[in-house]
Amino acid sequence: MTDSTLRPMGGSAVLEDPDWLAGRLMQRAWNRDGLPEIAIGLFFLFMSAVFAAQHLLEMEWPVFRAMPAVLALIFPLTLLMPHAVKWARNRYLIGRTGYVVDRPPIVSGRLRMVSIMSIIAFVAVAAVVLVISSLSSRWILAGGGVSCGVLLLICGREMRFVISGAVIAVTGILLGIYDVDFGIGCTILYGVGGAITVISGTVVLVRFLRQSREAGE
Amino acid sequence: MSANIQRLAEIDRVIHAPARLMIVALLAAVKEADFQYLHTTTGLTKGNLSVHLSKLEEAGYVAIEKTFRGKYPLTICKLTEQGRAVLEDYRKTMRSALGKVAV
Repeated sequence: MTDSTLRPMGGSAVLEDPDWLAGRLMQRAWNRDGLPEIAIGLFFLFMSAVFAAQHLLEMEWPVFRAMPAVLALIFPLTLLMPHAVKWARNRYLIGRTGYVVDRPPIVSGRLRMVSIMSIIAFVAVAAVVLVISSLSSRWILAGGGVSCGVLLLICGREMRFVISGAVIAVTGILLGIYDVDFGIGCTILYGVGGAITVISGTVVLVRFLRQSREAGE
Repeated sequence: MSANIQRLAEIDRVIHAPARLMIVALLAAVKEADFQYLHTTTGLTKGNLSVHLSKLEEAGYVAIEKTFRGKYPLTICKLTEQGRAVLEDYRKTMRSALGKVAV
């Protein structure tokens, strides 16, 4: 065990908790080639394009009408993203990253209940967001930036994710402070988020390919 | 608590070694993985990983199968039922022994 960052609080804690160890190793392996970041970045850029098109084409949808359409696009895309990353990895990088099959999820009655409750909670939150959005877009931009930044940090838990998350959060806050038009604000927010994550992911991917080539893999 | 501490002496030494624990923990979290995935994920050298996998296979904790995926040769490793049971026992022993120890 050469990497000291794999030890949580105390030095021997790793030995006590194989689940923690496996989870951390797998998360690092998942993010090692930069593909997940590129996928997240492309998703952000897609969202930016949606808002830009809406703004440029002068489709004067009020926020409360546009949001359900955007949310309807988000769900399938976010669900498909890990599958797309796995497909690309197995298709092009299997010799470098290796082959792995996840365990099928065990869906217990309790988990199913939690899932249903989460969906209900999400719909409730979305409803609250829609109500708030009719009041002020600056809070949505600031809140959206901060939540995207925090989510990115949680997804990666590495320095490059901290930097990307911080940039997105600061962008959202600045857009909120300057009370930028909602459509333009979302275009900028997702555009900045997409650009920084795609660039960061591409740099990681290039470095990964170079390192694995040098290692003769 | 002393009885729990004494159980540490009976702990399975095959699984207790950090590198092997890392391999077993990873295999417990997935359905199956190949040698290359374990190599990149654990950071162990190929020789070291090979030796540890052989020990785990000898103990009956890991099943190894050599196959192909297209032209790509795969050495697929899976945790056996015995391996899973031993890991569970290890987890319980460590938690009961060290869970209440003040750091």
